Amino acid sequence: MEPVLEISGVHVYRQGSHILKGVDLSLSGGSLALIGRNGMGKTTLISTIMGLLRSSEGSIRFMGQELIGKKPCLIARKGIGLVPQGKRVFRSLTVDEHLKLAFEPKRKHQADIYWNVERVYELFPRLKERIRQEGTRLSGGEQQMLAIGRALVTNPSLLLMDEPSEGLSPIMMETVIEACHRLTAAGISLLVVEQSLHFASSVSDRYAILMTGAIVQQGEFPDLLRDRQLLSAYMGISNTRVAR
Amino acid sequence: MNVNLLMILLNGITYAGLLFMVASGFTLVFGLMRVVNLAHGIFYLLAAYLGLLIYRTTGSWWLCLIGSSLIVAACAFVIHSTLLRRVQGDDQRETLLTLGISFVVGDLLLAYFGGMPQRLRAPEMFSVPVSLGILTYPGFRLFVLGIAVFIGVFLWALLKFTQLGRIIRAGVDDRDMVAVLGIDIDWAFVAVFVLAGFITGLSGVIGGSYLVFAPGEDIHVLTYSLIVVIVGGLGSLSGVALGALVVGLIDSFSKTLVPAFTMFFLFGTLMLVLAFRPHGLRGREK
Repeated sequence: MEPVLEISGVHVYRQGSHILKGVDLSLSGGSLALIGRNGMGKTTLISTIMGLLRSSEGSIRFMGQELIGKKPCLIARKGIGLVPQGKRVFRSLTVDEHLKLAFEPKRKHQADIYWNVERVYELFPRLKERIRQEGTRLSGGEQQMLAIGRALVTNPSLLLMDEPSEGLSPIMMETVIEACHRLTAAGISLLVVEQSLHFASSVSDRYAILMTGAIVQQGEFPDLLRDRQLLSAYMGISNTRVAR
Repeated sequence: MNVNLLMILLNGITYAGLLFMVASGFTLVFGLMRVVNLAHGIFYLLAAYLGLLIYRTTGSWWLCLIGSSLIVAACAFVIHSTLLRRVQGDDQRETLLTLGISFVVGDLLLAYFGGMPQRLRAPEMFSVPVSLGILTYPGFRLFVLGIAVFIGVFLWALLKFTQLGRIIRAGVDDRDMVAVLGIDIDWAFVAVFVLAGFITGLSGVIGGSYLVFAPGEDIHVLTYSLIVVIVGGLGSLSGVALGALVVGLIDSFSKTLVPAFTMFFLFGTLMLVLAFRPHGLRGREK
C-alpha cells in the first residue's frame, strides 16, 4: 500500500541553525506518535509538512504528491489538517464561527465520515454548550476540542497534532484520547507529536523518536515501554515515570 | 437649546459622517490587515480629481461617484498586486512605498489639474435645505451622514456575518492558522484592499462635494484618518465611528468658537487618549 505520508531526507534551517538534518519518516495509515525531548525539531517538522517553513533539501510526499514548495492553503486542501501547538484558536471568533470558517462543503473527502459542524458538536458536546463564546474565553481543554474540531471540518485524511495533551487536565486528556480513537476508527491517519508518553502510547501503536533533527529510533509502543534503557537515553525519563 | 450651538453640533455630526467614511477604508487596511497604507490620502484626492474629470465630460454627479470609486478600486488592485504584495509584512518598506506612490500621484495631479482649489457640485436635489424644527440644514450634509451610516452598517454586517468577514477577523489574529485551514488568505486581503479603495473613492467624491480640495489635501485626509483610527482603536469598526464622532465634534466646536486652537484640541485629545487608553477608546491589547 502506498504510504499516506512519506518524508525523506528533509533538511530545514532556521535563523542559521540546522534544525532538521535529514528526516526520514513514513506513515501508512493509523496513528504514529513522534516523540522526543523539547527542542529536537518536532514542531519544525510539522510546520515544514504544512508548508509554513521551507525545507532546503528533501521530499515530503502525501498520497504520492510532492508537498515541498506548495503554499500552506494548497497543502491543506489536499487533505492535511493541523491541530497546532498552543491550540491557536482565534480570539475574535466564537466557537461556531471557528467551525463555519474552516468548513468547506465542496471539498471531497477520503475518510469514512464526512465532518460538518454538527458532527463536531456530536463528538464534543461541550463545544455546543459554548457555541457563542469567543475562542480565548474557553478553558484549555475546550480550546483543544475546538482546535481539533476546526481541523476536522476541513475533512482531512491526515491530521497532524502538535502537543495535543499540553496543559490538559487528566480527565480532559482522556476525552481527547477517546476522540483520537474515534478519528482513527473513522479512517483518518494521525501524526501525533507528544511529550506525554501516556498520551502518545494511548493514541498510537507506533512511535518514532526525533533527536537533534533526525529519527533515531522507530518501532511499536509496547516494546519501547519495556525498554527502560531506550527510554532514559532518548526521552530522559526515569523508570518510575513510565508507569501507566 | 441655543440654535447656533445646535448648528455646530449638527455640523460636527455630519462632518463625523465624512470622517467615518474616509477612516473606515483606512482602518480596514491599516487596522485590520496591518498594511501601513500612507497612500490612503492620495486615493481620496485622486477620486475627487477623477470626479472632476468625469463631471466635465458627462455632467453627472452620480456617474462621478460610481466611476471614480471604481477606478480608485482598480488602482488599489493594481498597486497591491504589482507593488505592495512584494513587501508584505515589512512595515518600513510598506511605509516608504506607499509614501512614494502618494508623492508621485500627488505631483501628477498637480501637473494636470493645477494648484487652484476645486469643488464638485452635488446634484440640485441636495441643495434644498431641510427643515429640522427650529433650524434649516443643508440637505447634502444629511445625505453624507446617511451614506456614512449605510457604509457602517454594510461593513459591520460584512465582518460579522459573511465568510469573508470571518476570514478577515481570523486572519488578523493568526494568518498562518487561517492558511492551514485551506483558505487562500492572500486573496481575501486583496479583496479587502480593493473594497477599502472603493470606499475611499466614494468618500473622495463626496468629500470633494462637501469641502473644497486642492493639492496637499491628501496629507490632511491622511492625518485626520490616522487621528480617528488611533483615537477609536486600531481595527475596530465601532472605534472608527466613535473616533470620527469625537474628532468631528472637536473640529466643529473649536473651528467655530476658537479657530486658532483646532489643531491643539485635536492633537491634545490624541495625546490624552494615548496616555490613558494606549489602544484607543475601543481598541484591544494585542
